[in-house]
Amino acid sequence: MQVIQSVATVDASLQNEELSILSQEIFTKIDEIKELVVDETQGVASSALFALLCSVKKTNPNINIALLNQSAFRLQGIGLMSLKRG
Amino acid sequence: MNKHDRVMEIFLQECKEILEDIAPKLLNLEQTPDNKEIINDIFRGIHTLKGNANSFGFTKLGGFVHYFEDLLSIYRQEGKKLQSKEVDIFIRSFDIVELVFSYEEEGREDYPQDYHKILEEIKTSIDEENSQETHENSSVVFDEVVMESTYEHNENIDISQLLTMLQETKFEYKNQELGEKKLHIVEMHLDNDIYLRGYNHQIFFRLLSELGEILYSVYEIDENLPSLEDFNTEISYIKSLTLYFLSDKDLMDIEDVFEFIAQEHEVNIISITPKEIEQILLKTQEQISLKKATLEQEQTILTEEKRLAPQEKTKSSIRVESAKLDELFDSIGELVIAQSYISQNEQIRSLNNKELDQYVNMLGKSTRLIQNKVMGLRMIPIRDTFLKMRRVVRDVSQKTDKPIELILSGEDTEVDKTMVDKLSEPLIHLLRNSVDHGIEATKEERIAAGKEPEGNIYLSASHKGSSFVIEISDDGRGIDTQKILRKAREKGFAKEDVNYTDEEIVEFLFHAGFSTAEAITDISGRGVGLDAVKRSIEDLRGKITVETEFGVGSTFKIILPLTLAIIDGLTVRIEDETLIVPTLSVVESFSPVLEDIHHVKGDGEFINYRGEILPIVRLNKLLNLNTKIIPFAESTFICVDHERGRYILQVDELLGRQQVVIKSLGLLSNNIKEIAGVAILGTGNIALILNIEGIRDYLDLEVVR
Repeated sequence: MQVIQSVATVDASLQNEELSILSQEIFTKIDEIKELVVDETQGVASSALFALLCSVKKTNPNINIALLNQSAFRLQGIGLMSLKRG
Repeated sequence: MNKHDRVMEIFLQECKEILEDIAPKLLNLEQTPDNKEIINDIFRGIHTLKGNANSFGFTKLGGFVHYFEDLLSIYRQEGKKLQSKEVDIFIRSFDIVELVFSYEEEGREDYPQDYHKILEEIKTSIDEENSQETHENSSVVFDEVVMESTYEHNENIDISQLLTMLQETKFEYKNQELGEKKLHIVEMHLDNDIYLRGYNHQIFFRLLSELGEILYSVYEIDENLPSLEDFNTEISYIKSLTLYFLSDKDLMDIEDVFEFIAQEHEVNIISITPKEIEQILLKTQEQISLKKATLEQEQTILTEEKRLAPQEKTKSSIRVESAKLDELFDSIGELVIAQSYISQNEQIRSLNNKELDQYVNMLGKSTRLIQNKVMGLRMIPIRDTFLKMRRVVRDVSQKTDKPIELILSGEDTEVDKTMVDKLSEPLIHLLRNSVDHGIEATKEERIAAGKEPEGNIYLSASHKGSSFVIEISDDGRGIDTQKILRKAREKGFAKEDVNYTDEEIVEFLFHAGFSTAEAITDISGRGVGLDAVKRSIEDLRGKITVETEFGVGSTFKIILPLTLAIIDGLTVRIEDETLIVPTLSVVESFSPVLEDIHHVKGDGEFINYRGEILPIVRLNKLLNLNTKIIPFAESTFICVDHERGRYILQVDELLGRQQVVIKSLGLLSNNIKEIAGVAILGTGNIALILNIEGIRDYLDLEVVR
């Protein structure tokens, strides 16, 4: 994960195991990150990413995650999708 | 009249009242678009109109107001802000409603011009608003309905999600090229250990892509999702995945893709044709409309109850046909005559019975009380008529591109309802004239004249003495009397060799066929109008006058009696004739002092009345009752008040005062301007009622001669 000027960019092609590390990394920088951007140019490898994004938002609602602000969004390899949060 | 006709009459009357009620509110809305109370009022009126129209098979009206109501209902919602564009649609829609109502009333088969055009505008506005509403997904009604909706094959389709999918993907289910393709909705309920068992959504996506097109997918995240601290990537927090998949393959082929996961998880696949999508949507739309209507009805009832609740404590009202009111009024007239007959009956008087006299007095008081009350029933404020005029000025102002403010005053002044009904047309005409001819053509012209760019028109009502006075003033360019005179001479109304005063010149405006307008427009300038205005006012036993100052503005003043039916009168005698002078015009009666009377050769007789020189009218001469010259010393003088100046009536004797019911002389009195009508006295005799206005006209003409 890259964090440049409080903007964290995460790679959507990470597998589950890598996502686990990522989640810890984000957690340690949770107060530093202002915005989280998903790089999906390589496709989405695991649907666990979606839950992770929601968890980030739950942990720090001030973090801006553009994907979660949209009713639907298009991702490489998945197409048009939406997240329905309980 | 059969029952249906009676009901129809009530319906038509109610519709007219609703329309009259809505018209001024729309203009208020233009000024205060945020006022939800006004929108609610208009909505309620249109809602009732719709119900009535449909009940009576007025399909053109019903069809139109149905959509108009839908549009209004959108703006009843809190947070929905009205812009001037929407208010303009409301106003133009209302115009169509009024027109189509008159078409229905006349039984016309055709549609008013612009009916379909405005209807389309309304529908477009509704569609635009609804699409926003769907996008915002904020409608409670919508959510409730889609939650309750089920597909007719008893298969649970999440209608809300389906609609969102259609909205997001712009999927054209009506596209003919879809052929045999079906929409497959695959819903997978997933356990939280699927990652441990090798689940990978990419497998499904790849396999499905070979069979068709994945339009949309929805991942449902567990509501018990932990925060990052406890987040575990081995656990799936995705409760379900729904795929919207378009394919022409058999259902079995699609089921095969999910075969391995279906062994341990719940997988539902619903296949629907594009036609079925359309049916679902239609059904849903119906349910939404039904639900909305029910909710609105409930809301309307609640609001109505709320609105009425506090008023019920203070006053209640019932609807009475105006014809019944007229009958009651006539009956009261007869009662007044009967009471007068009893109180003046010589036989009763000669009994000298104090108790009987007391009862007769009581009867007189009660009769007067009832009469006043019934009179009051006919008196209504001029407010509604005035508010209608705001619309007139608004429209003409827009057409002529002249910014104008109409300033109203005295809207609560009461006048006989019969007169109110007949005042609209003359007022419309005068106001249109004020805008079209009175106010300067351009802002620049006004600024150059040292005025504000915006023109002002003042419409006021007031009671003055026995009269009801309406004034229409403008701060425009005033009347160019020289131009009027030239035109009057061209048309042969004025003589070339006569010098006319400004007042006389302005009078030419009221000649039939007179117009100074350079061009004929649909607003004015046809040369018909002011003469018709004058006739209408005279029919109401009124008078119209004009005051104007070139470059400053003009004032048209309409002077009318307060009521057309009963007057309080002073009974007077001339020889053997009994006459009635309307009491409200009487200043006082007195015996003249001969030194105060002056004769001016050719100009008549005058009296110095408290420092004011007033003309004397010998009524016996005016009415051709006899040719005798009655000495002033043997007369009684009555000073009467009039807008154009007081004058003195000479009579033989003052008999008394009584309320009389005015009976028309019909065609007989058309050419006798000095007589307003007749009254049947208590004695059974007939008395002529003097027309104070007509006598003043006679005096003015005498001066001219």
